[in-house]
Amino acid sequence: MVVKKRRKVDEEELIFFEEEYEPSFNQASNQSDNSLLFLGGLIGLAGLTDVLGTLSPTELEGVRGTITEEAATSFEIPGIGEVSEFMPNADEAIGLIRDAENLSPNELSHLNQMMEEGKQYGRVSDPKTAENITFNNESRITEQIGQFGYHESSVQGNLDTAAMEGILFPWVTVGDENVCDDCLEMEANGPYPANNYPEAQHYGDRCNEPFPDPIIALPGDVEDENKYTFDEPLPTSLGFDKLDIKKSGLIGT
Amino acid sequence: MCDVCQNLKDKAVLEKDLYYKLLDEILLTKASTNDPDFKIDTEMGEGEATKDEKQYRQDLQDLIKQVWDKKDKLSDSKIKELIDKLFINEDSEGKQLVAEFITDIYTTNAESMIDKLRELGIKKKIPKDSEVLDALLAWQQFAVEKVGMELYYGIMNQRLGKTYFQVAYGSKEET
Repeated sequence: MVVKKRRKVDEEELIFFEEEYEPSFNQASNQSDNSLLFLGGLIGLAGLTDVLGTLSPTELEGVRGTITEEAATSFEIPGIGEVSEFMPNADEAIGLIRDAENLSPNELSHLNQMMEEGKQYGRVSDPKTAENITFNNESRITEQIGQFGYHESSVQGNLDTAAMEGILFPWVTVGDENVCDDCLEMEANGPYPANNYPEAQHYGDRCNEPFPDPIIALPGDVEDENKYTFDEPLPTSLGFDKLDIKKSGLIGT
Repeated sequence: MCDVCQNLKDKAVLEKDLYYKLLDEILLTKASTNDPDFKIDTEMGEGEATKDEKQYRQDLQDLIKQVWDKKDKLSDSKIKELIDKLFINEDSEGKQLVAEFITDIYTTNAESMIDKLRELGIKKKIPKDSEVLDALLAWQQFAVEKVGMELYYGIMNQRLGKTYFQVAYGSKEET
């Protein structure tokens, strides 16, 4: 009985502990864990290939031919297709790769840095390499900081000023062949009220630069700023009762 | 994954050839030790970056370049002083750059919107206190501070690693 009670207390503490964290923190933590797992796999591969790296091309081809003929296995990776394994003892590394179908540029550079640092500790790599990767990573991160900061300050300067005005703003993509489906969907579902305008869909999103002109959705002047929102009944004195915005189809879901 | 989105051009899909590629080309070849060039990527993201955005990004890059240019000549304590001055301190160059640029772009766009609304007969003023602007400034400044911290840790990691190998195994840096 005592043990049971204690376990219950522990479980409650665990749940409480997890709920204290922001979802983004948990996500980052999970990504970090995945990175470590993937790092282990890559270092394993590095070790294997380090051995192979001592072989001449002819010897390497000979080893590969023998292994692929005698010990090759193949399996299906969801979303990728059939993968042939020709290295012995590489099951673990392959399993980790199987779990990492998609990696963002940040994740890749992060993993690359971790791998180089790991190799550095094993003295496989020049410490200078890890430092260069650090600078290259920070340089790339700075690009994202700058792009995002410019985009958001530009958009929010407009939205913050026009918030709760009862007017709508379309979503305008840059209109070239590089626009992604998410942004096209945002454009198709617009316009949107200023106080419910969608966020940028991804890093590098330059939709709404420059910010689009407002669309008049409500008749009459609105001089009492920050008074009305679409979630509140709009005063009939300004003619707002003649337009049901949510039913008008002007606002996307 | 979107096949056409330019923003995703650097995303990687691990396909069946990756395993062979890792073995044949990537891991058998030592990772590039190329020095960073600190030039902005003009093809980053959708569309074309504005002149203001490019300048902001280049100014941020130049902060990192200052560390890069001086790191080999400075002691550990001097490196920390430099990074503090550029990234960490409340009045660091990076944080001042962020505050001035973000506020300026926000204000310029707010004024532009006020003009547009005025043409529609709607009178507005720039919000005296903007929670959104404050939050954006706080995040951008923290991001700059984080860059500084990671640069410092990267440099110190390299120095400590180099020292260890020299002490433990002699002067050679790699096996």
